[in-house]
Order: sequence, then C-alpha cells, then structure tokens
Amino acid sequence: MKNEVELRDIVGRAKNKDLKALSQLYEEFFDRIFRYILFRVRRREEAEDLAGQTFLRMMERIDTFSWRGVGFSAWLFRIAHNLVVDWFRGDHVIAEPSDLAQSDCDPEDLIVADESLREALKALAFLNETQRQVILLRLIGGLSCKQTAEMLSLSEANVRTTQHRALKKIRDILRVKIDV
Amino acid sequence: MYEITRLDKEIDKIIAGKNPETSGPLIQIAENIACLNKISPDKNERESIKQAYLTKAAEQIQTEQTVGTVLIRKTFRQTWFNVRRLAAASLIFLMMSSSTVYAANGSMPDSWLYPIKRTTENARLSIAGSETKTNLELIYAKRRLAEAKFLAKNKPALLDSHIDEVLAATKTLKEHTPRSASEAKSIKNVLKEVTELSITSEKKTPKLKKSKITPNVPDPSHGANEETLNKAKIDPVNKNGKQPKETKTSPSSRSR
Repeated sequence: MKNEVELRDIVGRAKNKDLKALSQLYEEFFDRIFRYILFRVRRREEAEDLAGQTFLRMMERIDTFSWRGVGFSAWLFRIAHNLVVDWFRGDHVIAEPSDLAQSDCDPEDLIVADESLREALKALAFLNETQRQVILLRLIGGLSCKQTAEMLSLSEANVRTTQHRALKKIRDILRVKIDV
Repeated sequence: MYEITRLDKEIDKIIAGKNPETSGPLIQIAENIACLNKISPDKNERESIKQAYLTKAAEQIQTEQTVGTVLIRKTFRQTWFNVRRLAAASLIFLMMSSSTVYAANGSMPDSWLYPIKRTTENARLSIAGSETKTNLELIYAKRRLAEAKFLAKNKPALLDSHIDEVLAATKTLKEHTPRSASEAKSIKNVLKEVTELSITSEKKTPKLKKSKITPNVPDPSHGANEETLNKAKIDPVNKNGKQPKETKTSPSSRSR
C-alpha cells in the first residue's frame, strides 16, 4: 500500500491526465475495490464490471477531487459505494444469506478453505447495512478508522463502536450455530 | 470502552499485515474476515478491464487535447480577426483624418473644412514649446493675412467677419520679442500689411470702422443711467458694423 506522500504525487499526476499515474491508481486500488463490491453484490462478474466502472468514473471526476475533504481512498470507495447503490436500485436482488452457497460468488470458488472463514462470510449477511459497511471498509477495503468515518459521514468513535458491535454479532451468530 | 479502542488498534495491525498482540474471539473473527482479502479478481479479466480503462482514458485525454487545441485555435483566429478588423478601422480612420486635416490646411474661411484647419492649428499651438509657438504664431498670422487678402479679392462680404481673426492673430505677435532681425522684419511686414488691410477694409465698408470706434454699450448691471442706455440702444450701428433692420425702444423711452 502506498504511503500518503506517494499517493498525493500519483493523484496529482492523474489529475493532469497522466496515463502512467492512472495505471498506478488502478494497480493500487482495483483489487480492494473489487472485493468491497464483491461482498456487497455477491456476484463476481457484476463486481468486476462495477469495479471497472468505478475507475472510469474516477477518471472522469478526478478533476473535482481535492484533498481538503475526504482522503483519496475514501473518495474512491464512495464512488464504488454509489455504483453499488445504483446497482441495487436497478432491480438487482441481493442473494439471501441462506442462498449464498447457490450465488455466483460461491465460497468454494473464492478459494476459501477454512470452514470458520466461510461461516464469517455468511455471517456478514446478518449484519445491518452500517455494520456491514464498516466491516467491509475496514477489513476488506483496508481503510483506516478515520477514512471509514469520512466515507460514511460518521464520527471515529461511532465507527469503532459499530465495528465492535458487528464483530460481537458475528461471534454470537457463530456461537449459536456451533451450539446448534 | 477500553475493549473497543484495543480492538480498533488490533484491527489496524491486521490490515497492515502484522500479527495482533492480543487474542480473543473478536480478533479471531476479524482475522478470518481479513483473510477474505485472499480473494482476487480473475487475472485475465482484471487485465482486460485495465486495458479498457486505459484505452478510455487515452481517448478522453486525446479528446480533451483536441478540444483544447480547437478552442485555442478558434480563440486565436477570433482574436486575430478582431485585431485585423481593428487595425483596418484604425488605418481607415487615420487615413480619413489625416487626409481631412491635409485638405483642411489649404482651406479658406468660406470652406466647411476651415473649422478643422483652425482646430488643428489650436491643437498644435497647445502642445508646442515656447520657441516653436512663436514660429507657429507667425506662420498662422501670415495665414490669416493671406486668407483676408483672398476674401478681400474674392468674397469681400466675408471680410468683415474675418478681420477680427486677423487682428487676434497679430495681437499676440505684437507682444513677442523677436529673436532675430529676420523675424523682426517678418513680424513688422505682417503688422504693416494687416494695418493696410484694415484701412482698405474700412474704406470699402465704412460701418466697420465706425463699429470699431463705437464705445461699448454700458452694462445695465453696473449701474449705468437710463439715458446712456437709451443712447446706446438707438445707435444706428451695432457692434458688428451692421445696420439693424428695426430699432426697438423700451416702453419708457417711447413715452418720452
């Protein structure tokens, strides 16, 4: 992951329509954006498509980006989030937690061997929207607590509390399942 | 609260790829979820998306550059057109004004160009230095004299109105101290000719002379008595040396 100084330099060049800088941004963020979208829409092809669209939109709007507000990562994830929201509005239905195994994004396909990991993935579906967002942005998107707070328009304390509650909820779900 | 903060710090370590310092079920779950980062997009698909993205970016850059170039060219063309138009207009104006001034230089008092000639002369006098001014005044006095001679020969009716101009032009000459003998001679000749011309003019139009020696009409505002005012009013020759068609008298003088 690039540090802040390097990222500022790359973004600065990308704003001047430097192809190399645009390529560097793609390499830096594509996989994280893809995973974030994948765990939201749970369809690999759709996730790849939306991730591609995220970068196209970024390229079109990078002129409007400034470092005064949110950081670049948060700004980019917000683009991805808005695309996902639009995708849901377009008559797309998210797979039910129980149907996750039949969805396009089958845990077996995701090269996830560990049983508990597979369960964690299923448990994400039981979280409310804010909790899921916080967990995905922090643990999958790799955003800091501050960046997550900026993106979701929450306070940092709120983000910390939400992620704590989300993990506790997952633990409770898993415990119940184990008990059963 | 402590647990929330500690969990957040441990999650930061997990994200950075480091091992957490403490363990527990929540940290274990966080580690498990973070393991989902092993999931990657299909390599070929990732590459094709990248190519599409970069191609689109290159196209956009190309379009922006083209639009920018076209805009610059258009602006330059427009500016150049305006400059040319302005230059042409200025040239025409300059040509017209210079040719008008040139034409006006040789005009006589009966010409419509004569006011332009006088305006140009006044403008030149106003910007001239003291030495040049003397020369110009001498030149202009000669011009007035030549104009007066022309009028005396060709249009004597207009001479009366022009003689004041000649006198005004020569008046300043009298105040000058000549710098050379030739200049003094030149001024003397001009003044002499003006005097002769005045005499000739007076002989031709005696009213002119009379008007010039007629005392000015007293200003009623300065407390002149009524008798003096009436005398001035019934004077058959006015200031310009012309006979008034009808002399109006005040009701008070009629009653007398």
